[in-house]
Amino acid sequence: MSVASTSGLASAVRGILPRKQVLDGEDGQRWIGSGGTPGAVAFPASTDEAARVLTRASEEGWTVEPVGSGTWLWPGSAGTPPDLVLSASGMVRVVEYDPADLTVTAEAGMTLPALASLVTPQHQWLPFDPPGRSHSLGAVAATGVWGPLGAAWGGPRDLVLGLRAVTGDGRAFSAGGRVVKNVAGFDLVRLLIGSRGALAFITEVTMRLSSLPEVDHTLVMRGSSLDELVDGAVRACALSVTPAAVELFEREVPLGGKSEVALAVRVLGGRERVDAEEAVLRASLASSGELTRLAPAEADALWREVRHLEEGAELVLRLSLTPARIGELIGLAQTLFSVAGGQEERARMAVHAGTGVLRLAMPKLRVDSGWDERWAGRLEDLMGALSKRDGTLTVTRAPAPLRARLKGRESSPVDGELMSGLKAVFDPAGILSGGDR
Amino acid sequence: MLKAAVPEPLPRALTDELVELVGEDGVITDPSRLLVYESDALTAYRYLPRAIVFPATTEQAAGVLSALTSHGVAFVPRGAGTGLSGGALAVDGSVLVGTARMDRILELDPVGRLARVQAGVVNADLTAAARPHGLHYAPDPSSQSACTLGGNVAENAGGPHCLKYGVTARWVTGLTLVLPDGRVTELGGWGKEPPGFDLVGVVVGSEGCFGLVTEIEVRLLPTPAAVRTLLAIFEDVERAVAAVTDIIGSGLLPAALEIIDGETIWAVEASVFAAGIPVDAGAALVIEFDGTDAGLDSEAQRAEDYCLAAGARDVRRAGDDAEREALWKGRKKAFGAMGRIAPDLLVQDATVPRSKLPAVLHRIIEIGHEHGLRLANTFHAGDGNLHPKILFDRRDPEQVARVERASEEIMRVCVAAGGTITGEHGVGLDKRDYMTLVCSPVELDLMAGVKAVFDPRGLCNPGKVLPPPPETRG
Repeated sequence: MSVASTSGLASAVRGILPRKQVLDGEDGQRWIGSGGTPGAVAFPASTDEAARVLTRASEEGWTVEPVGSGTWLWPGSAGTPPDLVLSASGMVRVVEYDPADLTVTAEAGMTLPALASLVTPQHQWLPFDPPGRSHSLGAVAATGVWGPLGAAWGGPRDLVLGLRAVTGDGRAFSAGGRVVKNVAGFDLVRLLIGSRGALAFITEVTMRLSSLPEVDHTLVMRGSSLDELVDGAVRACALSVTPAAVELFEREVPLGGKSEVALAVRVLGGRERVDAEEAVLRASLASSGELTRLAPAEADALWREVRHLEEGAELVLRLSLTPARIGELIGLAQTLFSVAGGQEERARMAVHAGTGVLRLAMPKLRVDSGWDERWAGRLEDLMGALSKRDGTLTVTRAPAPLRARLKGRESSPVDGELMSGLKAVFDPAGILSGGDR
Repeated sequence: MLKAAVPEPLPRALTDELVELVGEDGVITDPSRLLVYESDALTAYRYLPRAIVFPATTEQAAGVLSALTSHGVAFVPRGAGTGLSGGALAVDGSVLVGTARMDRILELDPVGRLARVQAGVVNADLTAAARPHGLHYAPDPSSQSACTLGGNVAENAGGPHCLKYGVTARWVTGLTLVLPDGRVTELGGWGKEPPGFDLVGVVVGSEGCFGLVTEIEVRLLPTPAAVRTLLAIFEDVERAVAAVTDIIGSGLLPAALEIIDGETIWAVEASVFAAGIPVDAGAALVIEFDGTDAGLDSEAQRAEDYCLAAGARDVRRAGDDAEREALWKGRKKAFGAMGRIAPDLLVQDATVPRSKLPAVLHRIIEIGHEHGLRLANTFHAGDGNLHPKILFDRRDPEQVARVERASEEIMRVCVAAGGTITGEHGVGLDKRDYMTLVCSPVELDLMAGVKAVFDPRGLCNPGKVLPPPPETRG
């Protein structure tokens, strides 16, 4: 970077944005997961302001880390602190909401709960439940992550209709639109979804909403063996009805401290349809165990628990295989526990049975001599085992020393070349971080 | 409209190389045999290709693309040629690379609900193969009995049932892509979360401009246990649209909501596809619900109530599969039935926010009147996706000019209403000059940049999707 000191950088940014929209020094630390201090944290209030900051950053060669409201930051997520953190959390306005169209456009810093409070009075919702809490729309688009409802509704790549964003070199652009079907030009929306800020800083998001269902039921099976539950989950996903979510997850049992695995199935829609689907599910899963319908408050608590599984965890993994093979997926996760020897007692998992994704969260890793090397070895073995089965392992979160030992997952040489080409189109100076984050 | 002269023959060495790769019968260079490939379903544009080559495998396709590229010859991927945007035309002496021989279903996994097919497999054939397993492939464009999955991927095709199930991009999980230089890459895959950017996502809908997709992995869905199909008859389109808005706003999620207007009803009923709709109706709304049998009757009843409240003069339910088939045939064959009314047909494809449908439709009808053109409307009302059909005779250049003006005005109206110039047919050659209505120069630059990453020499489907740079525009 060409600015000699970090305070110089902050004052340069203060020349672009109003003073109160720029932090530096210790105030900036909360915006970095890895510890350390960024040169400045900037909170643009508009696409135009973000564009001005990025134009300058690109000219100066400042490294920039795009973030939303900062809820997805965690220790160990980054290496060297960036020169500048660019946060969308100051951009929280509704741009356009016409309930009759079932679409909403909001600035990228608006959080999912804020969006819910906007659309719920209109009997609408965003059928989307990614892990975590209070994520911003920009961040969910940038990470592309989804939760249990992804089985029926897809993820951000299916729910985001349009974006407004700023390239690494400060060019503002729109992609997609606010209509459900749109094939005018190449699909820059899907390119940006899941690109983790490596291509552009997202400033506005247009999402497709749904009408709130008449009824929303959650059925739970517990007390059965793991094999029975896996069998039940696979069967629930193989029926002619598609449940809104089929989740196998480990939950804490307050007394005794041990966890238990339960199967939760969510069905929603018109009352009669839901009743009929429930009947099909009960009959088809009878050999695995009994499904009990939860009261609404219990159901809310259950799905909240699933969403918050990763909270505070030091190590978070995402394992994926085709959904019919979730039994194998759980087996592989258990192998990791057993080689880890005892540390797994408090590790928890949740499996999105409909999409074949297992999330694994370990609250605390035992740090002793050589721990990071041992863990790196275990994870590489797991990665190899999954890759042999045509699956993948993503390390979502890991302590810095372990992350440093892990090789990033590499694309094939051709894909790697395509991706660096795409990166150069959107961020010619290569200042935007993101990617393996 | 546009018609090019007979292009130059291919260099002998290249023809020999192509024959070596795919066999004598896999290469057509005789202009009289190439005539059938001079246009797609948008017959207004005609370009005679220099040749068409039919690889049967990914390996052959890689050889073909590599040979073409090393000779600096531009090429255009082509499926069944049912596209409606001039996307598969061999402009400027390009060679077509056809997928007709890549017509094998490579794998159908009923347990995993997954299929891997070659790009030339016909959409309806996949569903036919999946049916014995109680499964189907969701996107169902009206041309599904002819169009290929490769073409569907290129256009990110939709269809009536995409209201509930979503368009092609939702169901494609993996692709084998041959890059223009002949290198092959496997993208995505169900059960994988590959690192980096969503390359499958950006290749779907790229209109054959990024290379040739040779294999496609798609998810299959269970065939619904039961279906209810309703037909509501209205005096005018506005009332039909009001019913659609009420149905969707109520939280009901029909599998399809399709409107055909009076002009279309007239054409359909006078054709072999007659569905028994009163010819004096102003609009007919087809509503379909699918799922478990038990809930369907009450949903159908609620939809019927909304239709009656919105002013429907009659609501019928298809009593059996035969009636249902007839009803859908009327909707899906509307395009063909129009042939009775006029020799040529231009199908527009624009999408507007659903709440803007009545105003936009009203304006579209006015535009037809202003230009003295007959216009019929069929549309995916639930998605706000309009297909105004302009009837004309292309032998009359003055009429053709009016069609072009009306067509452009329709696009402008849709864009002004917050919509876009194409919902599912693609930009192709037909709409590339209108891309500036929906994209800023920065956006067009970014798209051109993305294309150049896949196709740095600009040999793959040149001249499509993006308008020529301003300095080269005539």
